[in-house]
Amino acid sequence: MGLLGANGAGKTTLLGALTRTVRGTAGGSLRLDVGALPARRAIGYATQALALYPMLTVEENVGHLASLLLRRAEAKAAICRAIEEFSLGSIARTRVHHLSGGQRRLVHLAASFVHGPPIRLLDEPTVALDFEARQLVVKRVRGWREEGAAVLITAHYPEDIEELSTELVLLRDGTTRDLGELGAVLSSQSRTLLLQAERSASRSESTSWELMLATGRLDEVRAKLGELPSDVRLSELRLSGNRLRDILLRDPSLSSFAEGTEQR
Amino acid sequence: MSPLRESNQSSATQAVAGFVNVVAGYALTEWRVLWRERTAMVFIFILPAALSAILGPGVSGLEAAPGAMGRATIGFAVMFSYMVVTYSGHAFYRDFWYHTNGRQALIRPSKLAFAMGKVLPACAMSFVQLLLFTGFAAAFLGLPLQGSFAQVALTGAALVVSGSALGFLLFAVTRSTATLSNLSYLVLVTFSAVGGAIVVTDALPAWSRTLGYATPHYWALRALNEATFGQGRWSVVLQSTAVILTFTAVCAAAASLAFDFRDLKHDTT
Repeated sequence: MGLLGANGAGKTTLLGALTRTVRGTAGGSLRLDVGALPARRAIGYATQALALYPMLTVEENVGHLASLLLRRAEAKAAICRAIEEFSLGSIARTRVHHLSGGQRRLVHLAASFVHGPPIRLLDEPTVALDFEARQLVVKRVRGWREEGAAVLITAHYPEDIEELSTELVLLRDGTTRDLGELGAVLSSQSRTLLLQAERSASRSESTSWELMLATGRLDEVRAKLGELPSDVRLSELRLSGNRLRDILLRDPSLSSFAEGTEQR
Repeated sequence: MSPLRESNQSSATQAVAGFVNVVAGYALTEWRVLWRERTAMVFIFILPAALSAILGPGVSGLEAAPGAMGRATIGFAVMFSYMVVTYSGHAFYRDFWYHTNGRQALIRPSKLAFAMGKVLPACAMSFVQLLLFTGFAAAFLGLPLQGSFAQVALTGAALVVSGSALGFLLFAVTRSTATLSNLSYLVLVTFSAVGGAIVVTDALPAWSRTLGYATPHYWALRALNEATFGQGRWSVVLQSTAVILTFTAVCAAAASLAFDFRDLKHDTT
């Protein structure tokens, strides 16, 4: 599940309330069915701030939580697995203060979920990651999901939610709005046609128009363009006097959805 | 053995193993951090050694007394062993510096196991410091040992545990490392002064001596003096240790009540 919201919307506070790591002033209760597993082992929470001891090595940081929650043999295996999951083998003996921001983020994720919890909460997990590391996180999260773990992710950026989640919750001013399956949310969105033209008189300026189309492929859009009635802002387009530079067709995305909800 | 009793025994064993696991887990991490940061070593080992060498018995007003240098060394060792207050407090604050506090709040270990694991390395270092200094003073500075080394060890252990409990309490009631550090230095100096660790109790004004009875330092020095210059009576050592442990229990209980894993500190950014 993806939790989308702007800065200050309350995403981190909500995760804190769910994990009971912050004091609440009001609210109800949450019942999680995790079988016979003790609650402390059932939930893993990768906070937005990196939770690492800089003087310790990657292996020691990953091993800290494992040593508190697992038996020695289990802990050893779990540490190896977590290090391998996030491709940290080559830096396992390096102290964390020597690592880059992106590497630290991966160590933080490995350390947060080393005990293999069935419920995993991630607060802005892709911050400071380069493309390759981000792809690794996306792969890992999808892997956890396939293994049956419940994953809740917060993000500022819709792209992260789109890649990492199957369901969407929108959070604004401390209130959640359950939007259901991500696929359904996206299919409810229109495709966007973007026309860009250059003025004939001075070619330094450009103008764009956005037309919302319910459905259609590019050829249909072209066909529709010719059929568009004259009162559909085509008067503004004045294609006859301008040079058409580009036609872009945008598929529905969470970004356009988020922009739309922000505007509303 | 009945299945029920067997099952109870097994769950008790698991609970103990879990407790030991948590203590060991926190202690190992703390030890690694302290060892690699080095500053604790400087304060606990090097500073009292340097002060003993520089100031010697002059500061105690004991120049002419036999074994004066050895007695001054013990005084400084007792005084600086209370750096354990600062280092125990820092051990708890460390989770706020490095944002690992959320993890403790999530897994909520037993408060006792958590606190024991956190303070164990600093406690051990302070304890070793006291033993080393006393041993050194006995071997090379003319400090007599009328009692036994076990009396010295028992007193030292009680003293550093009381410092750790006080460190836990100061952590629980403060909101920033700066406040904790200031308070712990205040404790270090005042307890040492009125407790007779800097200047011998007999040389202190009457009101200071009265205040001194409320400090673990006074009782620790009373026991240590009994083990070294005194007659080595266990009754005196045990009585003094009992007072120190009472002080420890009060601090630990108050800290446990004041502390909540969900607490936030100003050091959290």
